[in-house]
Amino acid sequence: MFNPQKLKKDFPILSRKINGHPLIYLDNAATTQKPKTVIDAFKNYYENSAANVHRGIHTLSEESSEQYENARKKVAKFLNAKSPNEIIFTRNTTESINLVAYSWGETNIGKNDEIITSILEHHSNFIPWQQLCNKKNTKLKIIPLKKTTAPLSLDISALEKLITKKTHLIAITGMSNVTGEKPDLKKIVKLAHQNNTLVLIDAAQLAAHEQIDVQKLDADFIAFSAHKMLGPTGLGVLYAKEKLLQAMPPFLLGGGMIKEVTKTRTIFADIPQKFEAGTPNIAAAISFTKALDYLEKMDLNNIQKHTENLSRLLITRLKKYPQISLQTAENSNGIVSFTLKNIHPHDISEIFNKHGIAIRAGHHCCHPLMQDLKLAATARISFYLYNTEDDIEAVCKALNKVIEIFN
Amino acid sequence: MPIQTMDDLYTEIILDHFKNPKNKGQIDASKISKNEILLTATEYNPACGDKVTMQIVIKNGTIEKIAFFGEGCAISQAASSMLTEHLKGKTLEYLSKMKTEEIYKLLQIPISPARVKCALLGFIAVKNAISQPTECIPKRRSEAESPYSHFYPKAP
Ligand SMILES: Cc1ncc(COP(=O)(O)O)c(C=O)c1O
Repeated sequence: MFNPQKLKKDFPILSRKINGHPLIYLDNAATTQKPKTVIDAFKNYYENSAANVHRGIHTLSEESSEQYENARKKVAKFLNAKSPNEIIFTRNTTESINLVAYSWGETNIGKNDEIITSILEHHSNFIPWQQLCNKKNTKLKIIPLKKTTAPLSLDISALEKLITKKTHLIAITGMSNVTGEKPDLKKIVKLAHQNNTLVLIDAAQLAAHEQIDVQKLDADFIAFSAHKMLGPTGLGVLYAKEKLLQAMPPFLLGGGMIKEVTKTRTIFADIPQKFEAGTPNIAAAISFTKALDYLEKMDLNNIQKHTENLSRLLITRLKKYPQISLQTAENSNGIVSFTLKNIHPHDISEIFNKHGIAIRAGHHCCHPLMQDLKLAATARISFYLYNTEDDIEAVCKALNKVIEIFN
Repeated sequence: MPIQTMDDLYTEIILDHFKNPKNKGQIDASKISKNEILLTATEYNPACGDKVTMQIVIKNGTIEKIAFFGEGCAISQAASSMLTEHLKGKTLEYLSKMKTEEIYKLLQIPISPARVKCALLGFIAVKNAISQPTECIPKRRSEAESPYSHFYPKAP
């Protein structure tokens, strides 16, 4: 059933040529490609049932409302949430995290309270907490890297010292988009809850690489983006425990999130509508269900094994180049960052592109991490289910060319 | 669009300027004499975290010394290096009127939209140096004063 070579044909874009070469797409951590079923569902919404949700008493609006709410149910089931009310649709991971920072953070963080995050964080799980702490005149504590060089790893033991009675939140990545590290979330959640601290997980990468069971994981907030797991852009998910959501004030205000408005006051809708002001991305929510169907069919356990295997193979090959340094975790699951001595990642990426290979070069929205690594940028290869060992061969060939040009 | 070969971009000139950049380093501010002015500005490429700092020393309306430093890809480094060579001895008026096309002319390579910022990083920095320098030696008497008004009365 799970055959990477065969399933390529489910993804129309993978038959495209770039600079005369077949596309080899290795920038999956930025966004993944979409199977035809997702594209068709998107198209079908606009061709057959486009209408706003929760408003009109007419066939189209009823259809789109039902499909939109079915999408919420589908996501809840996929994550094993207790109720669809725990699923808030947003635009992306970034908005999901900002929702928590503005709604929960503004009301619950005071001058003497603390938030802990990690040095691995993407800006979207860093800046909201940094700015909140600056505004509330309190300190953001940061879990550092272990002092060893390669392989890179967070110093989770530091967390035990950082966490205090004043810590209200640990905001941490489920999987780094630079090093591929997956911090031990079970341990972190347990430690946090023992200290009456909430946990927010940035699962932008994790959700695409591991089957999340929110009840087993027991985290309080989980944020991710549809587009990094075969779904469309413009749709994010915030999972949060129902009790938390009920107590939180709304984030954005406007249509679709009220019960009654008078000239002087407003009664807000119940969750989840309370957090979904304005017309949502209906087409994206509906087509995301097809992405989840696809992931279920292929089984995230298979995908995980596959991308782990490819990462291991790639790392073995890269280690043979004396000019290469790896900025990658020990058991990276699909994400491999590296630098080449005296050659800028931009130039690596440019030459790869001439071979039809798409990789990412840059700081990956992780300036604080880059500062600690004393790097301006890295090259990053990130795998997903449609990549194969042939792609690694192509990478090595392109790498040889890079070295040849710059030598 | 025609398929580009690697050699289109990484020409010998580009690679030479990248590996052996001209005028790379920092200008010693303590050596600025009375009738000179040192202007410094930095430009960033938020897409990749690169930054280039440009420094120019002006004397009688002419760029007497120029230097750059910072990390960057082959394109941004080569472009900055070539630009410093190009600007040395030119007047401020020339620099203030200089257009981006001239950078492309200097580079002589096709610049794709994704690499525009790389190609122009140093150019924007040096333009900033004359319009909104991050550092100006000697210090300006007031913020409103043009950084080089006493050398170049008709500021662009
Ligand atoms: C770990 C991580 N967090 C957050 C994000 C932000 O995702 P989005 O841009 O969809 O909000 C990304 C994606 O770039 C990511 O890799």
